[in-house]
Amino acid sequence: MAYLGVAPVQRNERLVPTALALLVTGLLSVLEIRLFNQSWPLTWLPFAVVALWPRQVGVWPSGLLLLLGGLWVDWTSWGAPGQWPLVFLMTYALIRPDIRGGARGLAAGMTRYALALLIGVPTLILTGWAVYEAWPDWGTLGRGVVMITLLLPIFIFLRDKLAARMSGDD
Amino acid sequence: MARLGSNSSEGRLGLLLLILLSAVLLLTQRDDARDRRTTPLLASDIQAPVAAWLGKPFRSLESAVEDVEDGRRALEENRALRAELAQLRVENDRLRAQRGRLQRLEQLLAVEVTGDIPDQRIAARAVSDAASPFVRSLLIGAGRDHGISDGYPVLSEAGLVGHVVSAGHRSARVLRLDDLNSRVAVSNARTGARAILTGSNSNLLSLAFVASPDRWSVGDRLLTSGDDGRLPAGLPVGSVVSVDPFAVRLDFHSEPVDWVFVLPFSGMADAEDVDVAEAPDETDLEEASASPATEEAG
Repeated sequence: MAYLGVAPVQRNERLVPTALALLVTGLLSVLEIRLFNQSWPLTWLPFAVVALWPRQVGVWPSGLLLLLGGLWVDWTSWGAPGQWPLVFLMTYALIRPDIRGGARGLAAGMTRYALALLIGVPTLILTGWAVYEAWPDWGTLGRGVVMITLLLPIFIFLRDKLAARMSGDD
Repeated sequence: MARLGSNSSEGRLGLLLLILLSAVLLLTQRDDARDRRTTPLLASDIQAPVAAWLGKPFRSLESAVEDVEDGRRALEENRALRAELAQLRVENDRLRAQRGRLQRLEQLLAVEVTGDIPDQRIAARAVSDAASPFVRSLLIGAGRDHGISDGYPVLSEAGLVGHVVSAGHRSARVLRLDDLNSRVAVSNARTGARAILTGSNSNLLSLAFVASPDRWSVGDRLLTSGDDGRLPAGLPVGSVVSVDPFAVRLDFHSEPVDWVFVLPFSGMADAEDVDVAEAPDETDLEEASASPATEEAG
């Protein structure tokens, strides 16, 4: 109980799958799907991983992983180094998965994601303004968020299945 | 619970430190980010083949949806294409007549007809055509090993897409025309008027430094003028959709970019490659004027 109710060995059990999820979604984030004469970018795919961050990874490993993962996304998406780490870390600092309740399922996941968007989207817009002195392309930004919102139930399903297989808790 | 409080405060401090580190990184790398010089070439080389493989299911999904839409539109398009074909036949005859007349005039005037657009083209697959909120770039699956270098123009089947800004061994990053940083010298195909096409991270681009505003009208075709020395003259760019304010729609936006052609055109030398001679001292001038006399005397 002294260590947030989670044994220290168990706390690092989720590091590898989480790191892998960030790596793969970082690679996928440069892709887009062209449907109905519009491009639907997957830019926000790694952000979904952050929004559904496991409770059982400690704050320091999480912080370092988010920093490195964010830099990886910056490199793959040709962005400004530091922009995505800032978005990820600010989001993590707000939703603090390590102290949240362990409720699972679609409703709980979507609620966390909506909360994460409240801090993630303004952070991206403001850091973009600080670097490029321009507002983002709102259409691209909106379609990116919509795309990931549509894909999120699949993410939540996969995450819950994986958590149940590993130790029954995320 | 005491340990819980201690861990929690350490965690908060750690997060704060990492957030500050990210902010410092962002501010110090700002200039490089604006110039699109931030992505290590190795990252692109790793990313290109993996993203191409991971993107296959998405391409299949696109094709399936496109097939359904194509089937629905086929009849309607067939009628429109028949009408267009009849019109184009007439236009083709007129152009053939004009070409013969032009060749005759060129012979009479002994005009040099070779342009600067290279005949050789390097085909490459567009791995990602990413349009993020702040960056418009293209990652292609060919690089220096295939003969691609920085500065080479990149075209899709529809028209000019941009130019290579960093070429890795097996991949290259292309700065698209619609990126915030893109500036390309263009000319009006109808009137020859010049302007600079300015990227704005949106699908409608603007024109800056428009030389003769009254010589532009909606529907005019834009070509590269070659005035910037980076791109050859005559590459198709897009069309004017508004003249107040000036707005341009790019040709390459008309269809998905899956394959591109890279033109091995190096353009003018970079300013960095040019040696600038400083004004000589008077003693240098005296020495220089004395030396030929010595040689002559010898």
